[in-house]
Amino acid sequence: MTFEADDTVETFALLKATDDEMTQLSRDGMLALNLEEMRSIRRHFSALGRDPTDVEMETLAQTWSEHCKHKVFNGVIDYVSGRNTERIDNLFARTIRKATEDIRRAKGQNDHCVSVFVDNAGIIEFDDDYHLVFKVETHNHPSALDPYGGANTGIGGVIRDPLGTGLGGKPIFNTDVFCFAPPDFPYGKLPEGVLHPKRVFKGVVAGVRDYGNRMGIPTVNGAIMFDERYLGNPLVYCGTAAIIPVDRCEKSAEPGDLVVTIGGRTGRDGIHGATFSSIELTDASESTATQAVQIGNPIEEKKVLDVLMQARDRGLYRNITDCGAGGFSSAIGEMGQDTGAEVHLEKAPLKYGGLKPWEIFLSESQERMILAVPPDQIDALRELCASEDVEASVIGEFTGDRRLRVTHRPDAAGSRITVADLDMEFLHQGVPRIVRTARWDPPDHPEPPTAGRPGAAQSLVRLLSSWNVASKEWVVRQYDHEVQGGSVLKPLQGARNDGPGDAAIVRPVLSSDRGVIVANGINPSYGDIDPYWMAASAIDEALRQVTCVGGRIDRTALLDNFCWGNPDKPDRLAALVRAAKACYDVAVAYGTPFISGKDSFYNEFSDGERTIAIPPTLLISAICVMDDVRKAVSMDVKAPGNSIYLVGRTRDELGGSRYYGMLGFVGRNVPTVDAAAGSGTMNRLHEAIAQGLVAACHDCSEGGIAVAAAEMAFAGGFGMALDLDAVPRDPDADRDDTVLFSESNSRFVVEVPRGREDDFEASMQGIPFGRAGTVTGEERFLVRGLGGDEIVSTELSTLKEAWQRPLRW
Amino acid sequence: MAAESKTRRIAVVNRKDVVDAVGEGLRGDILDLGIAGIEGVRHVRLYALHGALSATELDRITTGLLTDPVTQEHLEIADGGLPVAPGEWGVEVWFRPGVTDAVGETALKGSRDLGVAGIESVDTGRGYILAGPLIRSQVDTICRRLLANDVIERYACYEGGQ
Repeated sequence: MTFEADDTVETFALLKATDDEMTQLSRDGMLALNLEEMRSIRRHFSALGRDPTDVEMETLAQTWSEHCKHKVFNGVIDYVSGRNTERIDNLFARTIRKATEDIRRAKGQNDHCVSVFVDNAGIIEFDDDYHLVFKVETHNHPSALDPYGGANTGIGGVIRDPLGTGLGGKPIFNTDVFCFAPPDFPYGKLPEGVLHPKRVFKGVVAGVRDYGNRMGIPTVNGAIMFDERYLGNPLVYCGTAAIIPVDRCEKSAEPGDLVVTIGGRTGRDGIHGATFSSIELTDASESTATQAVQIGNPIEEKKVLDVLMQARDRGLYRNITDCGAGGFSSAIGEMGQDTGAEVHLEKAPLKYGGLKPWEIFLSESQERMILAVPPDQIDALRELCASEDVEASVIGEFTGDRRLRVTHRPDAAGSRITVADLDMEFLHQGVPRIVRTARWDPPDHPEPPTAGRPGAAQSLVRLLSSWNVASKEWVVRQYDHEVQGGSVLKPLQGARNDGPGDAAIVRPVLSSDRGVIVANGINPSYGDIDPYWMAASAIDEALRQVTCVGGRIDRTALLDNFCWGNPDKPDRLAALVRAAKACYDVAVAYGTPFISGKDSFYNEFSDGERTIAIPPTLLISAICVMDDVRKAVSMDVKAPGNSIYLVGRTRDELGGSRYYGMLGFVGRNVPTVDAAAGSGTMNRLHEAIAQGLVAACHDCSEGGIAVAAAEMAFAGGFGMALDLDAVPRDPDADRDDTVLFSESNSRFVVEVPRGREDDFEASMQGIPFGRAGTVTGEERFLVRGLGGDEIVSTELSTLKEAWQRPLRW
Repeated sequence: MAAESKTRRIAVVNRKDVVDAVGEGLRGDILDLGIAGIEGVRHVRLYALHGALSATELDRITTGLLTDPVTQEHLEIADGGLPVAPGEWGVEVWFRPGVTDAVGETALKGSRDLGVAGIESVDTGRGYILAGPLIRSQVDTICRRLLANDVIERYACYEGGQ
């Protein structure tokens, strides 16, 4: 069935417009272009002696959007801290990318990166036949408006990233991290235009579930954070890893190649998605943004995936990318950046009639991929697509003139009507760089009084049943984490398969024991004290999890995903600068390169009176190649009589901890990272695990030693007796609650089989460690405090019930 | 004689002896809203089939495609809406025009694969039958807070026995 477009093309009266009129034009058209950008466009078209068409303005607006051009990260920032001002020319190049460059240079022959920052996803080496592709994206604004559809298309979109990397990777797993307001937020306090967090939570989980499961991709890893500041701006991070044959990583488009769209048809879905994500949400967004909402169709995407894997292996196309934000304009504009392209809009298949040319060009309808197909392969591609019931249409060709030319149907006389004719250079390089000021004023949050704190046992139970720590089994059970048959270590572990695993392991090639470890680190609370240490801690946490299951940091790569408030505000921008600086320092110290990443700004909600910004939130995702998955270690204790060791030094670092949060405080002493010590600890622990000296290993993060050890005990179904005097610690970490609940980085709780203690201790020489307890046959969790008194003696079932109850929906 | 082109509305519900997990989950969520009067929620899948369909063809689509005969049953609903008893409220939620309806598209393709050539399009929606002493403002709250998303959907609610 074919539908007719509406032929209307309007021009923007820009040449004669005043500044006020241009600002008005940008706002009315939802273009999200600032005055300086509008002036640049006017200058460009003045030289051409004509006004731009709506197709041209919309294409420029989306190509120049923060979402696509990362103007903040690539701009000029004057960073003011105390009396010092530092001019940072391109924050991204000086932190994230520089870390990768420095690490790759230092590693030399051992560099395992294949492609970083240039393609839709990062690529590292896996084995002789395949490389590994990984990308994490956010889909926050659409998920705030329609949780199901937003999360649905979030996962659908990120699956298309590895698929559009190189000549196409085959997805092997998904990972999803969400940030919501607490599900028990009072309905009476809900601002107008905001969906209740419980509804957002349920809708997002259902959206991810329905897309991932129906695509046949296991969802093996994730995390969920809760904070009231996510009320108007929930965060939805979706990630996908894939494998790609080593000889299918290069791509190019040659003049004469055909522009082919395959998959879904084009409708009005997601119009203005890219510019929309560069605007703060208001209570009017709910209705004005209808078009920004996209609806996913996983069955369509599965068919596209199946066709593409065959077409890739038969060499039927030379280049591929996905239609994401900006649709055709972005996909074709980027693919044709070095050649030029001509697009004939009337050839694009439509879902329904009445779309205007600019809507066809900008639409963000889902499940569409753009290919560059040599003319002599088009018949074979068409035949293949027809056999799998996938629509494929030639909508233009790549040229050699470095222009993006868009035409609509021929007029009565038979000549084509040009609706856009843009210089690629201006389109991609013409955006003016922004200059912003960042101002860092360290906050000062008081420490809680030491008097009147609850006892250790009571605190432990309360922490286990806090939203951030509590079991996420209700969510995990909805995801298929087994499909494809390669899942080795899954999200829930232990005697009854209900303990919280650290990292997941997948074996993508079933004839091989080589595996892929995926983990994540995120803790926005630390950013309330210092975003530098928040970012440092997120990297450390992700690497700890990789280490726990048997991975090694020198085979690990990282992704960075920044979700921030409005970066035009100096305090938000200063937080970004500090987090990015930590990314450089800590990644270089650990030798773990960034291979891809993304940012999402303007996560602020205004209800007319107040503006609520999300806490600066950095998700670090880690991916690691493991030579032999048979060496994998889970987190549940395995047998009575085994010894429990604490590895890594405990400091008085309760600032931003869950324990202080429970007491209603933020505090001062945020966890810091000593990466030199941390990498020593992680490398030794990796060796010990490889030698079979470790029965179980769990990292200390939220809730500290107490929560980590309790989780290991009730996951394994055996008791544990701990003695805090044996915990390696700083002298000033001299209170029981400090030792139990401090969230110092680079620490592990390790179970060592009975009889292997001497070997384990020998392997740990030079690393802070202490033999702090044993696994017992009694189903109790016992802790002896620093003075020798028993401060916790609680039934395992009590602890486990406290941990499982909150999200047993 | 060829059938005339019109719209047939089909409701698919769980059989009485099969747990309605969606309905049960919603009942809990409604209680969370502070609406204590809710006694039960039944979840209904709605399909609007547009086209010229004979009785045999309609049956082929409803029993062969839209309904799982082991756990579900279906009925055709008239323009008056869902079969709602006195003391119950019916709620229908449908997509706004232009919003992609992936399930509808798949149902259309499935119908054609079953050899029903006269089918023109399929829309999908959701229905809910709410039991308990509720007043309209409460039902509106339930619809806005839980059942329908105004950004992409519109809803209608009506009281049984009216």
